[in-house]
Amino acid sequence: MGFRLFKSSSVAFIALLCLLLTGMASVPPILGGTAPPFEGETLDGRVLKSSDMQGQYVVMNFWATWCVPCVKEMPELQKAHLAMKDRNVKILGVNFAENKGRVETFMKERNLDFTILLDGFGNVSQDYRVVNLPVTYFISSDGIVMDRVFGGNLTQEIIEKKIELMKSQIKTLLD
Amino acid sequence: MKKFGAFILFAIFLLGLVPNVQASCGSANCSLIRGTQAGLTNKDRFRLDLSYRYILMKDKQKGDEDHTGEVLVPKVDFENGEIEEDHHREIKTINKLMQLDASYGITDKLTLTVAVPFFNDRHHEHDDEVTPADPAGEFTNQDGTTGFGDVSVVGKYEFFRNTKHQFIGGAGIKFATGEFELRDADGTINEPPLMPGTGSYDGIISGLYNYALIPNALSFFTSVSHRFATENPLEYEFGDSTFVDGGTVYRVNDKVSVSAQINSRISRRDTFKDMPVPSTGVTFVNFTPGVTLMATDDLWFYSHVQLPIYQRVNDVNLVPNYGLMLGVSYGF
Repeated sequence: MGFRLFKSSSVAFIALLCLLLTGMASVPPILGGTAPPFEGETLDGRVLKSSDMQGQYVVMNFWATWCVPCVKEMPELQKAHLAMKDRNVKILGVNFAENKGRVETFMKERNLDFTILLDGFGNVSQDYRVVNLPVTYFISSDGIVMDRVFGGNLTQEIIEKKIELMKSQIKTLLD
Repeated sequence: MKKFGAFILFAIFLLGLVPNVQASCGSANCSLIRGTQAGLTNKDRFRLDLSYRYILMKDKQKGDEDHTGEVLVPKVDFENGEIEEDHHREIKTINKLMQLDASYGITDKLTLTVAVPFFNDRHHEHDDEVTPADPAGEFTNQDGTTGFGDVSVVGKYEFFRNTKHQFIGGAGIKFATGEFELRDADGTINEPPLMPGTGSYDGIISGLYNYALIPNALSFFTSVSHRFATENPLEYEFGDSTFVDGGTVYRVNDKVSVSAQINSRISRRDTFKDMPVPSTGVTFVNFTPGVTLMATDDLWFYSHVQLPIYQRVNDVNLVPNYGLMLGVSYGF
């Protein structure tokens, strides 16, 4: 009985290790590589797929309400959203593992209305290998990761500059 | 099975709670994984953990069944190099242990922990000198021990970490710092399992995998560790032990986290002069619910209760009725 228990416990441990190795095996996003696809619920209850944003430049910001540096960036993301929403640029906030009500309250209190993806189980964050918040990915209209910014120092100006740089890089590549 | 049912209900209760959790932040960013998880300490940080354990052993066990008869166990006669079978009748043992664990983060991935079991008190009651001529023997509670235990030093290294997965491996040595030649009331060397130390230098290896279903809020883990025992100067060798654990930890809010674990321990039979020692070697499986209160980010109070689910002994012996653990942990 003891040996059977030991054997089954060991099998369970090995199975979990395989799960770990599976997680390790998935490809992290690299600059110049394809952005990992994702799908999830937005704050307004829609299902958002990464494929829905094909053809748009995406600024994908991973954040949480408890993350002070993230909160500092939010007004800048809102300004960038208002300035560039008609220029084929999508500002997408990916909220890290918080409940919907808390995020809703946070957005309302600060008059923020750009799109928020609720990453309740951290799966999108896992695919993007997020270990610190905030982190922002700049994704081109054809789904390529062009840049990544760590820490809470983004401003509307920096975002606009990076978008313009992305556009010129894509144009150069196409020419 | 009733205990297992209670575990399932407890797990469902945990899953029904809504998390509201914070992680540690610097000026520029916030880490999604606390360095103190799974026994790791952040670089250049210390953590002191003081724990008290109380384990009551008075249930009788024969193999993997409850036993209503007597528990006659041997005495190892170190002076004459013999094992005297059915020497005395076990009644009760109460273990009270206090341990200080001091951890230091050499890097963010490597932590060194020194575990110091500085107080071991084993209250032991048995009927001594049971013989065919005197089957009742003589009751005594004078053969317990108190003393300093075996210090161990273990290094833990985080081999892998991302948002949801974490794998930590460890290796260490248990030193022979504890008393292992204490005398009983008759003046002979006492039973090895009652000693504060084993007298041997043992190797320890461990592996832990942690999966965050909801990062920083709900995680599941499994771990395996093994202790390779060696022979002590009295030619007594405790059996190797394997520990297989699995469980879940849920952070209810910034101040409270609850946990539920299954802990199993498989210990091989002890030997004396390469002879197997009767009534040694066990398989225990326990359900261990626990709660941790975080007074501040650095100061935690915790408690666990260990409830037996499955117990097996070689031959006959006493087994734990329950275990209680209380502790305080401070990081700086």
